[in-house]
Amino acid sequence: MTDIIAGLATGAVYAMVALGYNLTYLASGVLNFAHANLMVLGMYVAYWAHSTGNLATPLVFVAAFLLAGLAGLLEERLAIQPLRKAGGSAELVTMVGVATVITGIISLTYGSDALRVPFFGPDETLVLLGTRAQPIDLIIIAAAVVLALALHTGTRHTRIGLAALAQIDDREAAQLRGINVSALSMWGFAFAAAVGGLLGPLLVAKTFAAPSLALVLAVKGFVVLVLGGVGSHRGVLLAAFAIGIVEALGARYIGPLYRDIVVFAVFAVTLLTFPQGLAGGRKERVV
Amino acid sequence: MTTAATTSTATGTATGAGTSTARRLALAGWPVTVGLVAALPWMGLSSATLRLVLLIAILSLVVSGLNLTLGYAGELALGQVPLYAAGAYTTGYLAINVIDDLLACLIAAVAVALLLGVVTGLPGLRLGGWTLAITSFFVVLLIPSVISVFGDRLGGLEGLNGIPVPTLFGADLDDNAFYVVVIVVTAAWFAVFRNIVVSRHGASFLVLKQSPVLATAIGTSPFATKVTVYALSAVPAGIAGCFMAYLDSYLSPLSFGLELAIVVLAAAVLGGATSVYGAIVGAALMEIGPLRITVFDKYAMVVYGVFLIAGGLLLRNGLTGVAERLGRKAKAAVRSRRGPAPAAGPSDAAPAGAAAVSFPVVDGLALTVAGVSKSFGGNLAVDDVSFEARPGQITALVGPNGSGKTTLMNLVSGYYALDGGTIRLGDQVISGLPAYKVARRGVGRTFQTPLIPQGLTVMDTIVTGRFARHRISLAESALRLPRHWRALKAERATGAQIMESLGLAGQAGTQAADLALGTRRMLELGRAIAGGSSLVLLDEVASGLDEDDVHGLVRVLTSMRDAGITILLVEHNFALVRALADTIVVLAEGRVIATGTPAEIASHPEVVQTYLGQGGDIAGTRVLADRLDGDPPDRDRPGTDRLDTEKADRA
Repeated sequence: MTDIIAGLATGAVYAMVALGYNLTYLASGVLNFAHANLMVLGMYVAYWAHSTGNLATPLVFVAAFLLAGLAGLLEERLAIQPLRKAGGSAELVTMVGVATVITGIISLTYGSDALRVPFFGPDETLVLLGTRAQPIDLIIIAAAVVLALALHTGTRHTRIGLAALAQIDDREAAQLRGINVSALSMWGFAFAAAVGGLLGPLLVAKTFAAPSLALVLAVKGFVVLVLGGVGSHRGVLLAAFAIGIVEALGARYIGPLYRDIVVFAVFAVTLLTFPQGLAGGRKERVV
Repeated sequence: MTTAATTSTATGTATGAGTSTARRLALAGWPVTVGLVAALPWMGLSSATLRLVLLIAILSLVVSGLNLTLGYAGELALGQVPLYAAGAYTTGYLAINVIDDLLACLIAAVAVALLLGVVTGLPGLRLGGWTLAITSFFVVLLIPSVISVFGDRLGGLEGLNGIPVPTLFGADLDDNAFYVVVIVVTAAWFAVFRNIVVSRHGASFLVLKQSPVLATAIGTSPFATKVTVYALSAVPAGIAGCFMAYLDSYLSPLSFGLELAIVVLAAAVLGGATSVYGAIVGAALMEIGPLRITVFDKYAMVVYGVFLIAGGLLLRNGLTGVAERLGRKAKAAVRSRRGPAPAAGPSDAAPAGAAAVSFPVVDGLALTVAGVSKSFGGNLAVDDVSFEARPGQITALVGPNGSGKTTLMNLVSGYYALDGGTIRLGDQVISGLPAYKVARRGVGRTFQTPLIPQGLTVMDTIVTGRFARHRISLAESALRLPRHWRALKAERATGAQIMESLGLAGQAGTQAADLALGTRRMLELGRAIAGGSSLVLLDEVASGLDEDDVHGLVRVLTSMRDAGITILLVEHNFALVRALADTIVVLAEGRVIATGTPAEIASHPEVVQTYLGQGGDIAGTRVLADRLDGDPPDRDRPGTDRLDTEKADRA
């Protein structure tokens, strides 16, 4: 049961990455490969605040939000907007470039070792339903659920959310209906990045801050995204919890070395069995 | 200078557009360059320089695999690094424990890399795009865990030590001999790589990159093509791994990480991913620059990242792309100095002036659509439709938007699965077959928006239409076996005849994607029939064309019909349909409401009511019918004296 809670918490971290992908996808039609790097950037903001001392916790979150948001804004303007019409994988290459630059700057400044930042909240172990749980795990799980619910409500029931759905379906048509898709992309992208950064200081006590963390989060987040269905917040949340549990149980019963191998195997087998993803919706019109 | 020589060969051959002298020069230049590079150890170069050349060769092998998948097939598969690691560890393990023979290890390394590539690639290849990119990143992440799982046999995280000096056929290879082997094998791979990408297989990769829909329309299975490319790209990675293991006699899992994946990607982007020799240029730049300068080490990741962003934004197809564009400009400058250019070049010149129009005679097959239905969700798009399109006739499907014309066409092509009924070509049922198999039975088609891949010339584009029915194996193309040459000769001849008939003869070497709309539509027609299609489906082939283009089109379609091809036409322009069609099938809300000759349809009360609008009087651009004199005299001409090029369904 302790494994399950730890697994759910790990899954919640992946869910946050995947929800970030969803948010950039809805806002701009691309998946921000550098999203996990922006979250890691938020973690380093927390480390910086911790090492210099004396920065009130809310301010740490504000700083992480603003810094990641600014980075996302620059990314959208410099690396994505110019390639809108290029098509193909051009923007994938530039986004890998952005991710590499962020990671490079971080390792340049703080080195490549994992850095510990203590949790700002309570850290005494709780006993819950007969099992022991860390408060941070429970808070992270709750945060992921809240984030998914908020995004779900936000896309279905606000004007901006509906505008985003419209432009995903048909960018030109949305433009003709008076939606400023360029502004939507830019600010949506920046907002998604900022939210990613905001989560950094929350997660850092669990994950530690390390440059190499970004790729792990990016990949696992994407696995969860594909399994849960791009654009589906609830699907992503459920898939993330499932993958988190698979990972925890795999590490426990097969061996810690197999942690990632098990996840990959599950991912690969699922893709081969359900090539359209678990969510299943597919467009038939091709020509 | 080596790099300069290789870039210039790249511009000559990779585009396939070079003149024959440039081609011959390039063919001669490659062995000479390779010979010179292979002779470097005897020219008094330091061992550090020779090692650098080897590292460039090894990295360029890995990059060439990425060029195949990313540059040609358009799939961002970063799995080159795991495949390279697989080749290296296979070689290390075998050389230490089983057999220390370079050839045996090389074959084993390639085999393992290939197997790993296909196994790890299959799940991502199904979905492609992002999924493949991330799946391949995932495999990069797994390298340390997988190596640790093997425990001491692969040396774990500390690395694999003590790989012996290579032997070949029982003799030890000294440093210089090993050097020559690496250079020769690398050169041989690049020759094979070049042979593949300038052949029809390279063209089919580019078609897939442009559009999977088009890939199926020319009879290639996108999935099979992707698996082929992915497997093929594992070959150089395996070779490179084998060489790397022997070069350093030590392997560390840390050297096969994300950073290497980024280096490979940066080399591909800088050198130009859609090129053969760009891989060597990119690898050389990375090895000579960032990887050697230790001061630079600290900033390495930042710089690679900047390379990727700048490369992705500024360099279209890397330095090779820059060289090609400069070359094209220089050529244009020379031509303009010599006087007015010949008729060639992208222009609006419509093929109206085409003289004798004749196409290869074909055994057309009748298309029989019987009781076909298709619904999308609750929306019944095609409802119990039956009609027949006969060989040597033009059958037109007309009807307002949303009446199911394009859906019907996609059902015939095999893009949609039908809910009921059967579709036959001749006496064989084609409904239920995947789209690429329908194409292989001899069904060619065009698209509402012409799908013309980037990077192919007009000739190449027409030739892609032959893939469905004239198949050549990859090995035959890669090794240039006789069947390849025979097929090449046949496709050049057919291509030339078709271009002549379409009035495109002067533009064989022009980049097809740069042509004007009317010319691209003509080109699509040429591609649709190039394989000797029995049936062609033309989806709104006249839309967006000006008067001259429409007249050229009428002439071409008429002679296609005369060649015996069964033609099914979806068209809004009712006047054009009246002038051209032998049979008209009128659809409304998914149902056939009338079938008959143009004269019958024009006077059919229900058609006039629902489709042509009250009075049936259509105003718009008037085209005098006397411009249709290219029509053979035996055609029953419409009684009207004008054609109308405006969409008739403005209702």
